[in-house]
Amino acid sequence: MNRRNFLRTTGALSLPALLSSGVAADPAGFFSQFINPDSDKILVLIRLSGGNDGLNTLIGLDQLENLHQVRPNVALPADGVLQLNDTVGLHGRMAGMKDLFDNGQLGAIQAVGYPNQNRSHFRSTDIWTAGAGADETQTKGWLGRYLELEHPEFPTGYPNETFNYPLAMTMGNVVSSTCQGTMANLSVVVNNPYNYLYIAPGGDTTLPENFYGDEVSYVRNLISQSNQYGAIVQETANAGASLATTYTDGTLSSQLKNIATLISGGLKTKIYVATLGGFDTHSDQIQTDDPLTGDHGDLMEELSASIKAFMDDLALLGCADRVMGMTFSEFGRRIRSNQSNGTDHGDAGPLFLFGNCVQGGVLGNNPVIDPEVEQNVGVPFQYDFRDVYGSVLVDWFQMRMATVQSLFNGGFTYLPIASGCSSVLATSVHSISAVGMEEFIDVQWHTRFDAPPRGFTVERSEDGRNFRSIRRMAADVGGSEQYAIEDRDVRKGPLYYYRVKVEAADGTFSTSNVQIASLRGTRQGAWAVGLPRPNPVSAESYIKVYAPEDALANFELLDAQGRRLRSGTINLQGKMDNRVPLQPAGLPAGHYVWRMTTPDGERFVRKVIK
Amino acid sequence: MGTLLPAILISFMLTSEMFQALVSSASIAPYTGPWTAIEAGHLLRRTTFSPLKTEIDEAVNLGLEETITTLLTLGPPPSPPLYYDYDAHPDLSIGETWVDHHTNPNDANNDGNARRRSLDAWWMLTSADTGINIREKMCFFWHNHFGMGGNNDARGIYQFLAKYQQFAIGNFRDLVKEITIDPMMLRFLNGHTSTAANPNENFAREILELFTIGKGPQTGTDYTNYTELDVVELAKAFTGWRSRYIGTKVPGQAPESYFTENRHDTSTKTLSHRFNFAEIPNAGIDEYKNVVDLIFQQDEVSRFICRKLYRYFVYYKIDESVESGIIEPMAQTLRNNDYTIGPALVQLLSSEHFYDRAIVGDVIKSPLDFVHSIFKAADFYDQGNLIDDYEAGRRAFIQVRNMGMDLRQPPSVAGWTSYYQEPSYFRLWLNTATLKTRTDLVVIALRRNGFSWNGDAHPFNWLGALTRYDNPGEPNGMIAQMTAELLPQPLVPEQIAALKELLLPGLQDFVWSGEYANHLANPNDDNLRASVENRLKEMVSGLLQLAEFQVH
Repeated sequence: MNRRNFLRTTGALSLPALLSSGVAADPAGFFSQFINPDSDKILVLIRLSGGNDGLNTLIGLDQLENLHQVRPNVALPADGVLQLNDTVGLHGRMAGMKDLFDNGQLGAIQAVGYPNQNRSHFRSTDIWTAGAGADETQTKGWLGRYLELEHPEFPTGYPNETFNYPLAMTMGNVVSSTCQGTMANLSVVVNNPYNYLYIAPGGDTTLPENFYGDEVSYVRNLISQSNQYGAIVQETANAGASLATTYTDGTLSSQLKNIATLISGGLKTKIYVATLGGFDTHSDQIQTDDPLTGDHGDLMEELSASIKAFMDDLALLGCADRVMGMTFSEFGRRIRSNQSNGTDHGDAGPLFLFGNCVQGGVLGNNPVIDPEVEQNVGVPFQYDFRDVYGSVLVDWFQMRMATVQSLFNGGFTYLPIASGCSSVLATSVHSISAVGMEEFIDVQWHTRFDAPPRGFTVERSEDGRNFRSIRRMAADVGGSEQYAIEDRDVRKGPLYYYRVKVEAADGTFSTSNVQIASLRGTRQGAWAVGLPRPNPVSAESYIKVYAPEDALANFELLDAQGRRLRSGTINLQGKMDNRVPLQPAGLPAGHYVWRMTTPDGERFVRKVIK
Repeated sequence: MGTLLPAILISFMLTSEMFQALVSSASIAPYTGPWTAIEAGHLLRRTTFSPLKTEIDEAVNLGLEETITTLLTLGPPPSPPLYYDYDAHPDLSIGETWVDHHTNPNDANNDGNARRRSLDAWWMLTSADTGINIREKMCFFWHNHFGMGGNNDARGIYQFLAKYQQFAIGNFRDLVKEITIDPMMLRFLNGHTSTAANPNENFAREILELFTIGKGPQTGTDYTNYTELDVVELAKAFTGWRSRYIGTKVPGQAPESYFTENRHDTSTKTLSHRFNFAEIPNAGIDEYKNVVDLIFQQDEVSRFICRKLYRYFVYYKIDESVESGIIEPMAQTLRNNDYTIGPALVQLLSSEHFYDRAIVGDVIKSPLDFVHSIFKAADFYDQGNLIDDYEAGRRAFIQVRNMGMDLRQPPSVAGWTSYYQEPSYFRLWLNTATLKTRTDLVVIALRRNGFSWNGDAHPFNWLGALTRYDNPGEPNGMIAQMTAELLPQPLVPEQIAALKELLLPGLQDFVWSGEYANHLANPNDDNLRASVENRLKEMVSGLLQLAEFQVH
């Protein structure tokens, strides 16, 4: 740095003449010049802060009646649901996302969560942002771990000539924990990209090599990073454009609009995190005179309209193929509503993926609503959120499966949710399903074609990557549109991936998208046992136990001397969190050990204090 | 400061073990080197909030020993917070204190908010205005140490802050006893609901882990300094204490704690081998004192608190040489003085080690230090009347909060992470976002209107700051004095030259002298004043944005 630059006054932002003014008007041409087409994929996370009420977001049409029984004061009327297909609909104010769904640009995943769901905002947010288990201590974020694979030394030596842009960006004021790394958070916080405050660089004068010099040098590096990132962010914001006119005035729209502008301006940042707050709807989530209005409805509209405008914008800017988005929220809400026209903290909830490369459609089944369900029950999870994260990294960022497995303690199960662009899709197969039965997996597909194809090959995989043919079928010359096979060459346990390869009349091949299924009664997830709450224990204390399948577990209660005071069996419902009451009445004050043994002999020990 | 090795020998010796040895050259022996504005300024920056030239000069004149004596002479307690913007209380009006009165029963919400605003402002004004007195730095030390938050009752908060101010450098053991039964602590760590039948371990755990002795290294499933059993037994000993009247709307009531005999566990509690199986027989209302005395029989308590004092006043890295050369002698002094903090602090603040040039300026300012250093430099807390002083204090409080330090709500019972989180410590105060927030304040402090409230602009008076300097019309001396006042170590000549270039871009010295004299001669000419002030602000802007201004 030369001496003339050594001190600058506030606001004297220097803009290197990298971009000529004509460029921004032609964003598509701009990309072909500046962006490496091989590594230009961008992931946009939208955090729904507060815990979104999934049951009023993605609605099971076959559950509507029961929803009205258990949440009469907040459930949506049938005509307040936008039907996506025969079984599922969206909240009536999500027209934008319905359009995306109809175009195959929106994928919905039912009931995403994790075993032993934590209902604290802070803790569950930590779990979701860390990509960790409920009882796992993980100080780094899941995207921080991903970015550190490539940038293990960050922040030392950053920014540099190659990586002169923020590796990740959080919109707003507070840095996102998803990008926390070992030494620093790998995302830069940007509130207003047009107004990045320039800080006088503080010079490169020699500092003593001692504690004082270390600390001043730390501050200088931080200032320098801030400035360099700030300058490039402002530069690209000015060079970029936003062409859609359909953004709302809301906070999510303004964040997504800024992101679109930065992408169009050529910023190479791979990860953006936006936030929409206000989902902690304990009261008045709807207005009683019109169930579509109220806080939750407003949020649904802001979410849906903003995402739609963002996708429109990206299409106009010519970069829609490079961007995938994903929503997440720390938990869903309870099945039953409360007396205040609201809903309290619950368990799993739906998650949305959007973009041209998502596998459209709905993954998973409608959560079954038991009209007799207890007040404190949430929606049990069907898909582990780490499976979603891992699959996105594999398909979207083209990471090796083994590498991604190592990012998550216990690995993850691949889900075909972000693979919509990885093959030539058969337009002639307009729906395919795979459903696990007791003895076989039922694979069905519907076709729609002008010239009958020569035939179909059903392919199966156990990892979602390597498929082999299991059945060949000729097309029905009679013009049948519906085909089905029963795959009996399967066993309980694994998740199977199916797709159908179509050989067209002209001899060309294309494939359907991928569906997954496992046999009924297959275990899901691993045992997970929470801590006693509250502890020291009272009459209400319980331990949460997640059982991967229906099971009888043995338990014992020992005193401090190791004497067994109680023992028995617990009847646990599979694939959900069970609350096991501790019933400490009658026990003298003291230290106890609660021990549970699963049918497989796995043992969990928890300290109990009274 | 120890022997200085020739540079060539140092570079020859720098293997890692040797480097350790080099650092240990600093010792607890009394400092006998030069006593200039650098050393005096260093001492005052660490022990008070943002000293100005007047105080630094005074300390230079007093000498090291007298300055420390003055620092540790606490004097009368500061005056309590006053209402400044709320006049609806039936018994009180603006300018009167609310700390001894119930909340307005007819308007509790507004009164509660007004009291918190008043407390916030008072906190800033009081901590800024101590002169040579360590009381407020210690008050904040204890506030961070005990980490109480979560309750919004301003009277309750004021009560424990007043205790911290009163004890400051007093007897640590007595302070722990006081805080054990502080009404707010009883709520904060669940003592209030802890009974013989259902003892709550929250306070028992924290008094050991965070307040007195620390865990020590993990050994197997337990800790070096105590065991889980001790937590259980202490929890029983603390049962029976409750608190009431927090946020009271009844005249004559004040937040207070009280003992309820029938909630107290009267059994004899037996501690682990870590405490030599000591027994705590029932002593009812006095039992908590016996417990604290018992904990303090462990010498580890003295080392634990001395490490924390060291990190607060000196630096966050404690290697073996600091442990043996500084912490151990301080801990010995603390024990020799029956756990009165003062003498150990005198020892630390008088030591060779404290005045080592590596230590001067090696602490990144907390948000509180940073905001004070700007508000005080421009004399912003003195607005000339009570209402505006408090409004200014309240602005400062909000700035501190924006920078990541909500004074009324420590992030946890462990206090702010910057004081304990390995390995970054004070560096945690700064990231790209908080750096921007700090720079935002610099922008506010230099813009024409400063802060605005009640319809009026309140600019920062940078020209006024010049009156502290010997000859403000002479630019070289003025810059030298301002940088010496606001920065911990001297700048290098090219930095000084760059600052001067901001004051006088391409102009001769006499231009400043002439313009400044002209302004003094015509104090009512606003245009003249503005043009002189604008030049000065250019320079101050450069100064406040130096990395060196973020440390002290």
